Amino acid sequence: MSIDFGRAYEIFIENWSLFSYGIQNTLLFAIVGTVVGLVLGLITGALRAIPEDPMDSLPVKILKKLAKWIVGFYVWFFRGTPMMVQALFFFYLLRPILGWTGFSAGLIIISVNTGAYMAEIIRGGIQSIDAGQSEAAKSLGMTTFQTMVSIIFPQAIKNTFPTIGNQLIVNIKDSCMLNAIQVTELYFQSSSVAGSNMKFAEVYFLEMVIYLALTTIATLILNAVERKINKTKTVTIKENCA
Amino acid sequence: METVIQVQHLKKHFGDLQVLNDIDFEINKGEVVTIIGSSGSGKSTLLRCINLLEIPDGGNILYKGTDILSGKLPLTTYRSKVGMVFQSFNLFANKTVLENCMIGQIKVLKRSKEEAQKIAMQHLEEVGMQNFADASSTRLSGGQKQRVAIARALCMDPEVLLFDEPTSALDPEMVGDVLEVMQTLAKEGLTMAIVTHEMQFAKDVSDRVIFMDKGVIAEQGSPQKIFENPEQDRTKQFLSRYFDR
Repeated sequence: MSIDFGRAYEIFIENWSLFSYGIQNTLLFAIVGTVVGLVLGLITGALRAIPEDPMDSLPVKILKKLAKWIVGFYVWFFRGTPMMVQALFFFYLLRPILGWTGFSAGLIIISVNTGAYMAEIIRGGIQSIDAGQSEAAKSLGMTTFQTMVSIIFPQAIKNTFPTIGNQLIVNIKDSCMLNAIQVTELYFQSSSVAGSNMKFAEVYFLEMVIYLALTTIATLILNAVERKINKTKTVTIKENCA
Repeated sequence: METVIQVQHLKKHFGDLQVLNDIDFEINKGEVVTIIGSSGSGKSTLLRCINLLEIPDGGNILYKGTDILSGKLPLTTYRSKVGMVFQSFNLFANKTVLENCMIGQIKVLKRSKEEAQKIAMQHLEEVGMQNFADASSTRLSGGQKQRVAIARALCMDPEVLLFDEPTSALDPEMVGDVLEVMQTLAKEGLTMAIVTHEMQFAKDVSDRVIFMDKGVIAEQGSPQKIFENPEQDRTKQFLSRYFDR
């Protein structure tokens, strides 16, 4: 049991183009998955958090109930099954109809999967906001949609930002499951390198170091963004002379 | 005198608790109506029903003769005409003072940004908060927040402004500032309905005082009548707690 670090370094240099292609795809899948997942989560989380309004007409009431039911099923299914199995299942199920590649299927699966987690994060974020915020918006005559977009979402995203950012970290790592449908991300590329030179421990060591580097950089960026979001505008407050 | 809000046979219950039981009253243009009564008498619920933040179980609310529960008047249009100032201020935490005063104008009244800003600054000046326009709304004291909340409501050019215990969450030294603003608005002829525990203020500023007890209007009339010659025993009992100290 030993790792030849010198050999590992050589392998890294020799196969840099393969690794860098894998890194690019891993980042692409992680970022697209997180951003599209967040948008899906905002929509589905909001649908789940919207309270029933006694002023709603009967069709609206039915639609709201139905939407909640569908979102509930979505979250239940995508959180309750492994992403790798979802990827395989939907890739083969829909390939005859859509004729899609593993690449496009993978982008959609990781987004939809992340959306299910985001739905719960956003729902929690929305429910943690004081009811007075939406009451004040209502009292000005704002619609539910305007209230959500201008008042509730910005606060919910701010409050849940650390958890949202965590999903990016998760996605950098979990995108490796998409190798099952031939997505050439970092794990897939590393495995082909390992297979070609039979230096398994060295290559997987390299792979771990790269993953750690990616997640560390992502964490640093997320922390910087979080600091910026939390910095409330400071203004010199003049005592008024009126 | 033109009637702005007419409440007829209003009923509301929460579970087994009948909070409002057959309430009838009106708010006329230019009038200042204060609603007093002990906690749990239904004052705040009544005010929240007028703005449809609570949906009544029975009865009608007419806005200039139109039943607002009939759906003939879009709810958002109605609400933009009936302003509300809350006990807990409810300034938008993600907006500055100025943005708080602009958003309703832009989103609901469809005013241009420039116009909205100009009107917002006028009303902020009216409440003495113009120097805080760019401050984050979360950084203000309670009294300052409430004055901004009043400016925010005024920016919508409301036909009537509802105040739900506007000074109850304030430190005693802040109460005066807010009441002063409200007093000025009353003098300018703004139509107002105020739920309050500030009896001296109610006496000074009201055209009409409504005393509520256990979900009904027990007595109403001029401030002189209610505060100096109340007819009902429960009104006397309630007021004695404030004035016989």
